[in-house]
Amino acid sequence: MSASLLLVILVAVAYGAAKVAFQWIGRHFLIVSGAEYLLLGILLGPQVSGVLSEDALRAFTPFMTLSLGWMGAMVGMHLYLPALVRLRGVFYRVAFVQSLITLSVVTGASVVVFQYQFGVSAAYALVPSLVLGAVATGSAADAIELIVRRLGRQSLVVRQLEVAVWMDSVIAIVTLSLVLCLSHVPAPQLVRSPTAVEWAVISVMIGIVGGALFHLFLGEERDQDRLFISLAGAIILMTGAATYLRLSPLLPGLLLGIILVNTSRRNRSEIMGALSSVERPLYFVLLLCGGAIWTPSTNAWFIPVGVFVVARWLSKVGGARIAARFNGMLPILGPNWGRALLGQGGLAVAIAFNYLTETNAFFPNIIFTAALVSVLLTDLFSARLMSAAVVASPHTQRTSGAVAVPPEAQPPEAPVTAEVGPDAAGGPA
Amino acid sequence: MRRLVILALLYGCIQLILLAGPAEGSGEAILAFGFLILAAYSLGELVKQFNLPKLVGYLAAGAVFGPSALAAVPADAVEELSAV
Repeated sequence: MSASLLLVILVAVAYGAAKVAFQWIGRHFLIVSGAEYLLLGILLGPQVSGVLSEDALRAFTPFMTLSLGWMGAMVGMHLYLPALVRLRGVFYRVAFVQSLITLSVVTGASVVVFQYQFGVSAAYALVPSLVLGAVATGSAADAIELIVRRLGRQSLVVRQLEVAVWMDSVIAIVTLSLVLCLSHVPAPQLVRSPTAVEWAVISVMIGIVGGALFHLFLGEERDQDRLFISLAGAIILMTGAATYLRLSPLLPGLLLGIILVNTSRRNRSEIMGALSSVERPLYFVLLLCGGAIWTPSTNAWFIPVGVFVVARWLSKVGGARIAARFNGMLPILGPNWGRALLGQGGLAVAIAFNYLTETNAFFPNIIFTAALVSVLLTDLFSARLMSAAVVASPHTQRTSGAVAVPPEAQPPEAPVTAEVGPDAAGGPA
Repeated sequence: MRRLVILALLYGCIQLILLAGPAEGSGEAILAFGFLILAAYSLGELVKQFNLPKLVGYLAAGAVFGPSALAAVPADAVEELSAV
């Protein structure tokens, strides 16, 4: 049996297992599926058993790249403006500040470590450090979706977590995309090589022009099969365009998703359904292949990876506390609500993989190793961390008795209810 | 008709992108594949209006945009897509 066929079978089995077993496990035990595929990929990859050869992995690289564009579009599909403006601005301020603190702290710590460990200049260390900052900023999107399904959106803490997770995703994607524009290789075939700002504009334009054209292309199509084919074509085309220009497909994907979700009227849910139907298989391809292509860095990676994990933990928890304190949300969210954002999922692997494929990347294997370690450490328990933060928050403790019962002990059909305070949400931003 | 106009615009955009990209870009096969899907879909819908099977449209898209005619999908991209 060829390695490529084995990989296809593995993804099919993983998808089946996720559909049958892990959804049930996730619902009942709040365990998010994902990190096990990463581990499986490492075990089957050329570094350990060699079952998946380098040739087979190379054949699957386009699918991994495609999963980046798809992931960006899925994040964008969650940014539906009429729903976003129903929340007060303070939720966004808290989320933005904690994202920015994580990005700054991890970037700063990484610059120091790269300088100290490898003796490089601060300017040289800035690019990989910013990518590590982007990796650190991302939080587990799967976990918040599970928590929202389980607990509903009534609780202010769940709403804040949801806003924080999507804000983290957006900031991580934008940071990576800008970093790739900054460190873009010159284009000698052009009369004048575009500047970093021009590459950033090109990156944004791929998403905006693509989104506008594909909105017109899709029209009011509601047939699932036709919708899927057109959407797949649109995302593949846009991902290919960004990859060909050596830009990140995540940002154009994000913009495409935002435009599609905000311009579609009658077929919004069908578009979401069509996108979601392939999200999981592509996610598994990304995790399996991501684990398999992992190569230990020739540089000493223990200290940078260790510092990354510690700095991320401190900045997420501390940053979330600072953001809540300065925006008057500490009495609602509690001091440790940032622990809920410690989980990492596919976005971290996607960002690190995107950087790994860059031809002139500095320390790509260290960054990829840091992302894999962080996902392996936190992904499985990310939903539990979120659930614990919701239960422990002062707002949940103050409200109805239903929340005093740990969510794990409640049947999945019965959502945990918490009153929405009139002073904290409900009004326009 | 609307889809054909958009397809023509996309074709123009792709030509611009191919000008700005490197000589052997890694995303060329993905770019070509995405365009081919959209072209096949549009031509399939077009020939359906003439009571012809959609397959005719798909074949026509491959022939028109393949390496032998407009070369929107270059020969090396076709080779890279062999796994698909």
